[in-house]
Amino acid sequence: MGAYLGYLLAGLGGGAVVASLALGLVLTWRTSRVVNFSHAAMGTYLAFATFEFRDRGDLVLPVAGIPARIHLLPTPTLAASLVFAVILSAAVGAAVFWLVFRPLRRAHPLARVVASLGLYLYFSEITRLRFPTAGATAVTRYPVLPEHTVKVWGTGVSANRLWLAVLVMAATAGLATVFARTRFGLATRAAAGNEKAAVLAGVSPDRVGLVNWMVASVLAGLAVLLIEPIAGLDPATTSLLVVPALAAALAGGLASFWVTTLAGLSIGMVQSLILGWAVRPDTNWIPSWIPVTGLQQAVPLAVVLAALAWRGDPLPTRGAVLEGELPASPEPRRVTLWAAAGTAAGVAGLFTFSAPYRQALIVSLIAVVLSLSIVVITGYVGQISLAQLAFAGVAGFTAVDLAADGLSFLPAVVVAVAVATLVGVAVGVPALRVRGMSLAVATMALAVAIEQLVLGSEALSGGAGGRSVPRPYLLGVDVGISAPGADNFRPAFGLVALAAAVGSAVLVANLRRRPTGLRWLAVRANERAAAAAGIDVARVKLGAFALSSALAGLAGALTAFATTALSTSSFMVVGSLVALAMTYLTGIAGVTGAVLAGLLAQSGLVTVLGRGGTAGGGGDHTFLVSGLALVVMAVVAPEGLTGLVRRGWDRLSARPAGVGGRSAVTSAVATDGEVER
Amino acid sequence: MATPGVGALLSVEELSVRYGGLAALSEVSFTVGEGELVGLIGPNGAGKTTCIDALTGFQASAGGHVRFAGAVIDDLAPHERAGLGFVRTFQSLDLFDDLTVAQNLEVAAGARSARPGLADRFRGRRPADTAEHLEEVIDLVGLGSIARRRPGELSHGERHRVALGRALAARPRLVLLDEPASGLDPAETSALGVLLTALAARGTAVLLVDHDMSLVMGTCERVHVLDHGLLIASGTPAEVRADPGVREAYLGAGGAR
Ligand SMILES: Nc1ncnc2c1ncn2[C@@H]1O[C@H](COP(=O)(O)OP(=O)(O)O)[C@@H](O)[C@H]1O
Ligand SMILES: [Mg+2]
Repeated sequence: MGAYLGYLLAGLGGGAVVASLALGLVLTWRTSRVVNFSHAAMGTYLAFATFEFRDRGDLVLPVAGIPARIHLLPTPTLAASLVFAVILSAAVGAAVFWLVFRPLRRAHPLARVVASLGLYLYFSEITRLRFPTAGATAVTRYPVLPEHTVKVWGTGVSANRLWLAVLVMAATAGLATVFARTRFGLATRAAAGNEKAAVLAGVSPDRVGLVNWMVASVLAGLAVLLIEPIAGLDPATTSLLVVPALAAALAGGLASFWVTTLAGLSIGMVQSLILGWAVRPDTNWIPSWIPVTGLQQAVPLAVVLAALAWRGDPLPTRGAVLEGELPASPEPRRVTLWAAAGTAAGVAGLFTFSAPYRQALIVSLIAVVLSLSIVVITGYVGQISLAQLAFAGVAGFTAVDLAADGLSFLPAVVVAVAVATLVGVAVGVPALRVRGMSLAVATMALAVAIEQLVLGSEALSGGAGGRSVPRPYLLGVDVGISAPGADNFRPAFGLVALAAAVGSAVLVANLRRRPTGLRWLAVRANERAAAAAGIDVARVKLGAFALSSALAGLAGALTAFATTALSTSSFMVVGSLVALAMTYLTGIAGVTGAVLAGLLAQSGLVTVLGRGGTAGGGGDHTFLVSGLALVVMAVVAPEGLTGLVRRGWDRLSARPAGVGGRSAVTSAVATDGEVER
Repeated sequence: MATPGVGALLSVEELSVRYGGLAALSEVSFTVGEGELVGLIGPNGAGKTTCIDALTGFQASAGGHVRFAGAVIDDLAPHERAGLGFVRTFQSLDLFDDLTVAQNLEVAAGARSARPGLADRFRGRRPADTAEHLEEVIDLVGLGSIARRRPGELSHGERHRVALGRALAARPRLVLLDEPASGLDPAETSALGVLLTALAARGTAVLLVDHDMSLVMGTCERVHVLDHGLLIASGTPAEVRADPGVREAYLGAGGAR
């Protein structure tokens, strides 16, 4: 018993950090209606920057392209470092609000999700580039809090855990009091519900937003700073702390500080308990194929699903805040012609390119299929899914598993796609009750859980070494990616990938032109109106989830056979974020956008052409650039590249633009007098 | 008080809706017959939209039953009710902004049309009778010249016509119109009145919610009056107009609009 109490108490530290991050998420949600996926990534940068200041007296700037560091002080003290941390955090929070989320206040939730994903990539990459030692094992560099052992009911626990819990509770009490009692709190609540009311009440939504973002950012910076002596820091995993934090914030309804903090502390304690339990030698009930860290990730997922199921609604309620719009989705034209042209270009490329370019082309073709899966579910139906690569991973490892058992290529792929489809539909069912940001959060929690729990399982994925992929034969023809022992990226496999890409694109384009596509767009535009027009919204969404996860599964199965050894690194959550981001950049509401996204994919044709044929390379700034590009695009051109081009074309050919009159519509709707609350 | 028609198309039986502590609709009963034009009026906040929401399944009721074409439909989802030919419009129009006007109608028609044949489905063509029906609606509502435009490019009056057209495209036996004349100019309003009368004459029943008294009184055979969620009067336009309770409800809420 005492041991379990020990685990629970030890989890207070992690729990306090989760709670502190979650408080920041609640604050930023209340002011900007954005679930800031980059919250923990920002905190990670801030913590590293503080270490650097403490060690060298340098300010490391989070901006690419300008001098990386400015020397401030010769020998900073601990107190000076803490002051530095607070000021830097506040400044970064203010900048993020002012430059990114303030302009996006009225945009579609997807634009805000994309911007925050862009920031996630950006801050993760800045941390990796600016602090090269960041990946090194944890060193206790910064014991701010006392670390002696304290006895609680006879169980020893390090004092810093208790301190962290006390600090986060104090912060919660402070926030709760400020929000309940002061004019500023009132203003924030007013601004969240109704900007106009806030203006009438004499408060500036900008000022309110600024202060809240600064406070949130300081909470994030301090949280990561203080967790370092306990859990160590690693940019990738620390950035993903946002997932349990999101779970805690959702449990609090993105509103209640106390519930959020208690949920955060509980998540940390339960995770610690599970970990402690699972590693005990006398614990033998956990099957060996379940990875223990995966079990921990199931905790936030369970919390997220419970919170959403409890608060969700099958249809938005009357007077639900009118969200901004997704990019327009033009009807695909001349599908056969484009398909023929694409096939010809692909075949020509496969047979004329040298091996590195051929490889890049194959990567791009597979990425096209993945992007199409995103176009269907997010671009056409408006459901933000951050789990696409998780579906791909399930299919990839299923295919390898089946092939290893002797199933031949085609049936293995078909079954793998079917399995991914089933998983996708299973995800779609809870997703029927939530939409927008909440769905993005749910799918991200799910993707992390699948990554850690399913793909992390040695039995399925072969652990760190990955699994070797049997050679595929299609109708007796060898379609292996490379000749045995060579790296020649044979056109035979390229043709399979090309057929998959062209076939998927034609399928999606044709469905979009059919009544199915109209129903997709109707659901995307307005679920209530769609239901009133006789459309079964749930069925449309589930169908789209099925198609989308099938396409993602196809991409995953192809990814598997495009290598000789498949490892989980092909299917990390970050990859889902990048894929969504890329597709959004090029144009999420059309097949053209998916094709461009495929060409621009990491290690795809465009990047390899740009590097003159060398694959990979040290100073690869893909994430940094794509992160930044995402943020900029989300703010200035939410319709993506293809939309920009189309708009320019429309203007040139002086056709009546299809985008112009929308603000008039919004105001007409607003004056209709529909009850809003 | 008109006697509830025995074979009424819609019969509402003691329907109640509660928003937390607020009784937005209290035991409201009325009927609408096949091809009948019925008005539902009341001051702002009387519960008219709530009534439409509850009838069409968008709002859970706290009691009572809705019977449509003889069957109790209390447990049907909104799209299933629409599928029976029980179709509504929204006060805020809620058009599909991404679709053209013609597609707005097509989506609503497609959801209920006869299943297309295999050959049609393969080519993505709609069955001939759906196409014919859509053309008929487009003519009836007068959307021919704007069929290929998007709702965002249209005037307020045109958008109202699209909303009505979308409801009619779903082949309703009964349409519930939530303030279809709000913001229309007098000419547009009287055209709407003519259209509604024609609809009823063709056998489509109409439940009309509106603040334009001359429209409601001029077109409806029977009128029901809601106030604070209670049905305070029912009858012919003349009877309702003469009812002192109705006058008081309107004056109490700040005069007739
Ligand atoms: N979603 C809701 N939650 C709580 N109260 C509501 C909601 N919708 C409407 N109401 C209230 O119910 C009453 C009836 O509203 P409504 O049906 O819109 O009236 P009408 O359409 O006749 O103007 C009003 O007092 C309104 O404020
Ligand atoms: Mg109303």
